[in-house]
Amino acid sequence: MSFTSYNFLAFFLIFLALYWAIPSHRWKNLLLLAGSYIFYGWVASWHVAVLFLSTALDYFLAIGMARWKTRAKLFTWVGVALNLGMLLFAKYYFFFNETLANALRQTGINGDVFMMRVVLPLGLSFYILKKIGYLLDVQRGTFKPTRDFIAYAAYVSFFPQVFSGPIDRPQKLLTQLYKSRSWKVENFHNAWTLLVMGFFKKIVIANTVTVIVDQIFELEAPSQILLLVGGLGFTLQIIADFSSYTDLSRGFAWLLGLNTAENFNRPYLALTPSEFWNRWHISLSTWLRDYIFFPLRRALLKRKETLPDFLIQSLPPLATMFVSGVWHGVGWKFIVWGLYYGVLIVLYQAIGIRGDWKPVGKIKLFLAWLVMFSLIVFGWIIFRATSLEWLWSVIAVAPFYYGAYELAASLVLLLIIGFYALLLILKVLLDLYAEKFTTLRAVYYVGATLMTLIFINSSSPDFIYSQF
Amino acid sequence: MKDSFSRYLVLLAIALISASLALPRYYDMPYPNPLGAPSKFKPSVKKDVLEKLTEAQPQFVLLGDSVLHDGVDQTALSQRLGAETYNLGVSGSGSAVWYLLLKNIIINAPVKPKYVVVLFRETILTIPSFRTTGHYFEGLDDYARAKESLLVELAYIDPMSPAEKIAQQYLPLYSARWRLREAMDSTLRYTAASLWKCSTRCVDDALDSSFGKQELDAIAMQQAIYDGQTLYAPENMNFEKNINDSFLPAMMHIARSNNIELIFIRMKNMAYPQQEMETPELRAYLRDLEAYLATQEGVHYINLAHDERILDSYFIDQVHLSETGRVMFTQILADELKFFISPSK
Repeated sequence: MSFTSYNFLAFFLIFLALYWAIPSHRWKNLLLLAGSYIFYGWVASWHVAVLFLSTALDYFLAIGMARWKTRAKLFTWVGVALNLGMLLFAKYYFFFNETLANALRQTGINGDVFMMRVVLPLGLSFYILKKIGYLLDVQRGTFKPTRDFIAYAAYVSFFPQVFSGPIDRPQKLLTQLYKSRSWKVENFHNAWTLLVMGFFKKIVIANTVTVIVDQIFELEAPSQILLLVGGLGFTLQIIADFSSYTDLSRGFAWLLGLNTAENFNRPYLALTPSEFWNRWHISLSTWLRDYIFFPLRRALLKRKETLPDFLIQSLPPLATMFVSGVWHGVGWKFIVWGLYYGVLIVLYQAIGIRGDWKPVGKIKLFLAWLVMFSLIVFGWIIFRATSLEWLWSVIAVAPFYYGAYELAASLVLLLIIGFYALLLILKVLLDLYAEKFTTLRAVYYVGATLMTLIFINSSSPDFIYSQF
Repeated sequence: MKDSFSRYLVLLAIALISASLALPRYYDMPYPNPLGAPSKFKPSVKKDVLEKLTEAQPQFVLLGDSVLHDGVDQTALSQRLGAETYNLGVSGSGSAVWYLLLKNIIINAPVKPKYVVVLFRETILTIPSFRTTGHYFEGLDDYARAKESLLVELAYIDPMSPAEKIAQQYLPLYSARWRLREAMDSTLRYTAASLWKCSTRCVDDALDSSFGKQELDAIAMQQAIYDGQTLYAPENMNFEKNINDSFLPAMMHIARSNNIELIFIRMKNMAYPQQEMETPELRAYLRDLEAYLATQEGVHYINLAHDERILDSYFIDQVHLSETGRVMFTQILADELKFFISPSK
């Protein structure tokens, strides 16, 4: 049930009416849980059982941590290991175990497809991180273990987030579920722009640009210029697709009276790789920072005397981005993509450029942005490439362009991508420079709504990040 | 925010009213737009197919989409089978087109075929709206008459949600969306290219030469992606619920009244090349379909979805066959159909 489907809209409207008809927040939470399980189970009902059992396990482990403090670490590691094991097994088992995959193929079961379609429940990558975060926070004492199972289960399975995040922390979302909620008109005012933009970015921009991107990346041997056009297209597609999901998720959450995490802060305006990750998929980046980067760095700093400085500086970003790559997908290209960012962060740090670096002067600023944007585009090319071999053959062997026709085709496609990019750039400009011009902003939202009406119902591909 | 929302509502109302006034005039659409097909059907059907059928007088007429059109060699099939066949595969078609071909063309041939073979995959047979809108409409219109009440009911009106029905009738911006999108797409594609003196033909040739056969048509490609999802959508897996709202009962009635036997062949595809990989929902649907067809007089069912003779290497994508696949599948199909012309039958 996609956010942009009629089924979901009908489901949500009925749900919303029931939700606000119930006065007690505990009953609201129960309804939220029931609605989330229905929503999650829409694709494959048995996935709900996995979600429920793993949620119950964390809940009791967290309570166990509070009761038997001496064994808190043990409980934490059991919980983390089980959650992580579930995620890694679902994602990577067949990737590493080629023998088993081959054996299954012999019996007629295609391991990869079997895993994708049957074993790997959608959204696992997102709710597992939520659950691990909760366990670690309880163990560290930064969050008290909840005694309210319904609220906790509703937090884990919260339907606007369950498939593609944001990965909200318990401090932010679970605490809101403890409190009573009454309808306020502000909820609607916070939600409507997010909903308009969410539908617009998904239906108009992402779904249209995906056609160009898919065609280019499906070519056996595209020229370098086509690869560049495809890379630029994917750079636009992925932000439109993923940020639209976040916008819709946050919009629906606001309508339920819940304020959830922002996930994007104009990431393509970043000047350094660290800044990019502070602006892109913020809920994942902060999760990785808090539970991998900082602990690892602290552990290394404790051995400052014995370890070389470059190792202390470079290992945390490399390891964090490696995990990010593994989280994003199965295969070497995702690992390379993750490490690519790790190396970039290390290199920028090595030349003295930290995350908050900002050069003086407009030309320097523009050049810094251009370099970083080019690096981002190249990163997305690795991410979207059919395989690393395919990418290498295009970069090392293919010509810049095959002939005049291909040059013309590339320019046409670039202009089309440029047009759809302009629609998003306009929004960024409005946000930056026309905050107070309400009429101008209203005109933009009207244009977005009209375009959504024109583009609606002609396509409905899935959200990219729901595949993770 | 409050102020911004009221301005948004006022401006949106103005824009929608203006569009509602301008679009019906511009596109010559009635207001309110009656529910039904996106445009009026042409009064007559395409004649060339009937002419060819009249001339060939085939014993077997094959219906299907591009999988059949590109995947079966009609001459080789006739030779191996020892009976005249006619490949009436229409690229980008679904059960709506197959119903129209049977109703408006096949049964009007002076010598009717004895068998009509329908090559399908997954849930196509019970999704009447599959491939009926957007650019598919043109292909469908080739075989439709001016008035096609069952088609309009099943393919266009039934699948609409209540909100869609209202939008279709009273919101010209929505009912004219295909035309508006096409206009926008071609403006983007051709106008920009004209800046460096690349004509419409030049753009088409450039895209064709870069992407081969697959034309880079955003709308068509989006529909292809949508199609793939539609066949496996949970709501389309309920056979019992969908059978009476499909073209199947009508197709069987037409065939029976004209002494034509229907042979439904489920074709292999790479989404589920092995039975073990099929979801329980799909398996249940196909079980129900098979049971239903078994109860129908003059109807046969052949399941080639997991046939070991059709190798995975014969496929160039999820559904289409390679040149080798075409040769091999034609032979397999002929061998399957031989049963129907054997003296024991």
